[in-house]
Amino acid sequence: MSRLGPRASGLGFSLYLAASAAVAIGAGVVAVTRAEKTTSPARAGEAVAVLAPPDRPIPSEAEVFRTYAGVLAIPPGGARQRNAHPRTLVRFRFLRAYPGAPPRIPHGFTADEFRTGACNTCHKRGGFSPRFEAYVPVTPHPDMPACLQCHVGRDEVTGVALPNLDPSTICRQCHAPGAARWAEGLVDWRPMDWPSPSRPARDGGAPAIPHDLFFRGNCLACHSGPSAVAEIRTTHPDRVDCRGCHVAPDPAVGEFIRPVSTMSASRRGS
Amino acid sequence: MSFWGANVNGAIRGTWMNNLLYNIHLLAGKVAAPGNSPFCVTGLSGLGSAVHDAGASAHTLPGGHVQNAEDRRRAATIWGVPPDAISPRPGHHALGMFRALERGDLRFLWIQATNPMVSLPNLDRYRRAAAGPDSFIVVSEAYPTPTTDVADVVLPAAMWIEREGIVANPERRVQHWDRLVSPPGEAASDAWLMIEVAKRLGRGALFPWDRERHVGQIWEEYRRFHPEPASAVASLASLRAQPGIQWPAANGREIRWRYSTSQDPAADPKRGAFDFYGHPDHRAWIWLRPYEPAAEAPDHEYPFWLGTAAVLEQSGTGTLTQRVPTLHRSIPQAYVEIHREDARALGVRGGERVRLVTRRGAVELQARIDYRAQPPRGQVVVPTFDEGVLVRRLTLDAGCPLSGQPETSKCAVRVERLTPRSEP
Repeated sequence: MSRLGPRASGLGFSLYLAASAAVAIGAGVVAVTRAEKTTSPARAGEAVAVLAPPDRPIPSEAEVFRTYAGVLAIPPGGARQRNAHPRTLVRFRFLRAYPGAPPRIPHGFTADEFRTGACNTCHKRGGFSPRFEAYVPVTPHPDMPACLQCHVGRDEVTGVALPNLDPSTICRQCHAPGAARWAEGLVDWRPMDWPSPSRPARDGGAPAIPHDLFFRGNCLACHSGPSAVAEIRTTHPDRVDCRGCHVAPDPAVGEFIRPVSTMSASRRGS
Repeated sequence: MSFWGANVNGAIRGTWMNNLLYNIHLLAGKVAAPGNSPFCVTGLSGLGSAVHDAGASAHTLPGGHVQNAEDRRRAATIWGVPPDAISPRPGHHALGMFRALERGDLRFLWIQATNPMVSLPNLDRYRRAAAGPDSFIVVSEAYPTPTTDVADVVLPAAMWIEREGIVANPERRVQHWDRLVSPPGEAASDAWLMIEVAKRLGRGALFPWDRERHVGQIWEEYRRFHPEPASAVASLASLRAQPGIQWPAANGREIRWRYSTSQDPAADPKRGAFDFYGHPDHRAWIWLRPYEPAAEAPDHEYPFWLGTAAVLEQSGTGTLTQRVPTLHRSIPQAYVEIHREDARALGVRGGERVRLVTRRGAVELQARIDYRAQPPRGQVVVPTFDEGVLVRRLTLDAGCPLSGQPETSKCAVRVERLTPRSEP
């Protein structure tokens, strides 16, 4: 079992050297990412340089979590994360009331946090939280500020506690004409089954996306980085444009049927 | 490396654009060496082989041009026809054929492996031309399309794995494949359908090949057009033995960087590192090309640029890919993508149907906001694959006078809201 290195401090954003490069998460599930394959054997008990938080998202977790000396500071999905909050599919489902539901909030918040609803401070970009001793899951929809409207707190607290904003404005983030989501034509939420990995059309092909993308348009938020659920973490986050290869079929659409031509171009009546 | 696609070529001076891109590489010395190349990435692998060298264009012969007497003589010798059987006058380019059809200068058209009644620009014009009473149109196809809708005769074409074939891709790599499954019914390769017609016209002796092996036999005939190392073509046996061989392949060795004297046996090492032997002075040519404005630009009446685009899931006009359920479900219909700020100014919501109007026509389709192409303000983008939308009804058929390729990449368009709205 892994041991943790001594704590390094500074900048409020600390990275730790994990004692082992091998990653075993949850019930015997092994997630090997590209970054881990290239990791040299970690030096147990040795703190490494602390990286400043990136000022913008960096697509490759291998780069984000690498020290300047070229040593992986923490293998994504490393020991500390596992101990605090096991990010596995079992846990992922446990936090959701039904397939496709917004996850419950598994931690409490301070009165001030509740008042300001400043979830995005941590969840917009992710990183390591010393307070929870865990990597922060990244939201795929940071543009929607009224988090508590859908995500229920541990103590069942919910609501629209954003004093600076008119409640009618907040409701309309989804539901009103002219609102952001509405304007995008993406308010098409519907129930779903738990997605299961799809089979690619041929060996080595890119599997199709097995869930709809409403609120889930940013693939890297959930499928890359140390806070991603181990079983669904991508091996190649550095490719960035996921939908350049992975298509997203809509199960509600039937097969292709030729449209009735809008023109009378056929002179032969065929 | 420079990469560019169909919308650079499909411009009012697409040829000049290509000249200028090559200029950059030639002037910087970034050419004909590992990692240094201008590279035009256009879609279909068959185009590279058929159009560029095998003589499928109406002004070309295999490895030559009809205007060149020497090229005509060589082709006539290899084909066993009298030299004057090959006209020195170039025929029409692709769009020119449909214009000749419209004028009545051309009465017969045989369309293979393409779907022009979806893909042609200013489509209504050419649909009318094709539907005229005086023309006779034959279409080889595997599925019904808007092009088979205007056909007098539809011939059953075998699809790619139902027949043997050879193609070259944009990096000059020639690839061969064998038939994997038998074609249904009487379907046959496009080449064999032509041979069968030639036989019935009394010209069968010119095609002394058998149905089982005709692809390889035609290839071996084509190789005779390229005896010299500068353009030697790999043999059928070597193509069968390897997954792909770059052209030229002199003495069984593929030439990875043409004109490099260390790589290309046709280049003369006495001339230094490079020998551009394609030019009489053996030097690279820099073309000075002026700016040419687009054929049509936005104005107060048609205030947006209309761009047309491909999408990942659909190839070309979707004849094959729309019939793959996973791909169709991923993108069942074309849409118009509008910048968020433009949509707000127009009062258009994502998901609602809008009308696009140009000087040539109008189509109705669904609006999407900040979706895939993410066009800048002032541009709207529509995928071209959908025969239910036929966006090419809107686009321009003016084009580059050198290449004959129409400016399908841009024109001026107006976006109209269809649903009246009372809410704020």
